[in-house]
Amino acid sequence: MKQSKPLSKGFITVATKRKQFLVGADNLKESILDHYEDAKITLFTEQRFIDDPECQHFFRDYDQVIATPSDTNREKMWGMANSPYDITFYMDADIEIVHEDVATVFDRIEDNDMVWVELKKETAKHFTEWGWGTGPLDHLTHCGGICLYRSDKTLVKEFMQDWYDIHMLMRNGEHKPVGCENVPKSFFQWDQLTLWHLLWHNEKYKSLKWKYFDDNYRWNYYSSFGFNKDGTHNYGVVDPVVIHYSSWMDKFGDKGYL
Amino acid sequence: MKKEWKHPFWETAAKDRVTVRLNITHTDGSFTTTVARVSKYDDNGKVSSDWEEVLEQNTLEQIDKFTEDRLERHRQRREGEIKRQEEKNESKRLEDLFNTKLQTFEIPEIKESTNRKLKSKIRKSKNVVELNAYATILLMESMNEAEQTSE
Repeated sequence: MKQSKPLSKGFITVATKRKQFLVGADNLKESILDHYEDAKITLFTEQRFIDDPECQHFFRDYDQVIATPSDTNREKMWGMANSPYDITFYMDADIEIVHEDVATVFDRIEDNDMVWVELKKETAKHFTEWGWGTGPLDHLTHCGGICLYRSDKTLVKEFMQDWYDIHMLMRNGEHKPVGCENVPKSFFQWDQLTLWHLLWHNEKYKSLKWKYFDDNYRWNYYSSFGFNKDGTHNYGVVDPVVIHYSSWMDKFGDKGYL
Repeated sequence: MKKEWKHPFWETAAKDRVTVRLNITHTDGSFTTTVARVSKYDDNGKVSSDWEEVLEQNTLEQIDKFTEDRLERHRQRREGEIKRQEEKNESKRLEDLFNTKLQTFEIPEIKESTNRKLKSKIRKSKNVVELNAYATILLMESMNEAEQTSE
């Protein structure tokens, strides 16, 4: 009887444009290893950083460091399409892991192709833009900051690559796919809009099986959601695994550290 | 003209003045609404006609209830505001702590250190004092190692 090879499982993150993101990615990697010492982690970054002697300390303890083809701040989708693992948990570089359950994340894929965090209505005020209408899908539904997915499946890889390619076209105003007629222009800057379109409106990917994490925001708790003085969290989250420091961060490093 | 005195609440403990929403439907069909203050007595010390109208349309028990409900709403709003501000302060503190941690990890001796245990303690620090304490231990360890190497 033919025995199937066990699926490889690993984490990926992406740091391009500025060294500050390498600092963030390094912190993310170390925080994963704090809670899951056997974790395999791959970093996607620019070739110029990989070649820079001053950056070498950022690349310690990674399973792999892979060069991205470009230097945009949306190289993450390219990285997601090119994960070296069969099951991948992608996280933004401004995330920190704070709970040992990170070691169980891969079990949560179950029989799905992708698992996401839902951007819920009650948290809309925390986002620069969230919705454009009153219909059940008239808003950005999926958080692009984390994703658990079957990177061994061709269709999923194509999904990630299309997310990258189509987002670049949409962002540059070169493409307005069917289904986006009522979406305000300002939303086209967000990669979550391309993600929304691919998941809800793109025929090619209708067969993909996806769900939201059962304990949704536990896997992407934005720091702007608040930390209560008694150590508890908001929006029903108990013991978050992933803290996302994106909301108040200076993404381009001009003011703050990250 | 039709006057409706809605949701009055006591302005004074003596219960001789209320604030109330006054809705007026005029004879030409137009409608106006305003917030009015109505005192029990007019300038001549007589019970005012407005006061009598208010009490015709609202019982004393209802005014007591409107007053209590309003106080409760205000109390809850104040408590909510205080809680929101505390959460915001705590979030800001932790954002700042996160930034400080990343800066700490850029100190050359800490950056180069392979002492994962202490670096993990820095990362898990709950406040700046704890963070500084572990960072100092790591720096001292690094200095001691450097001294031993030079000897």
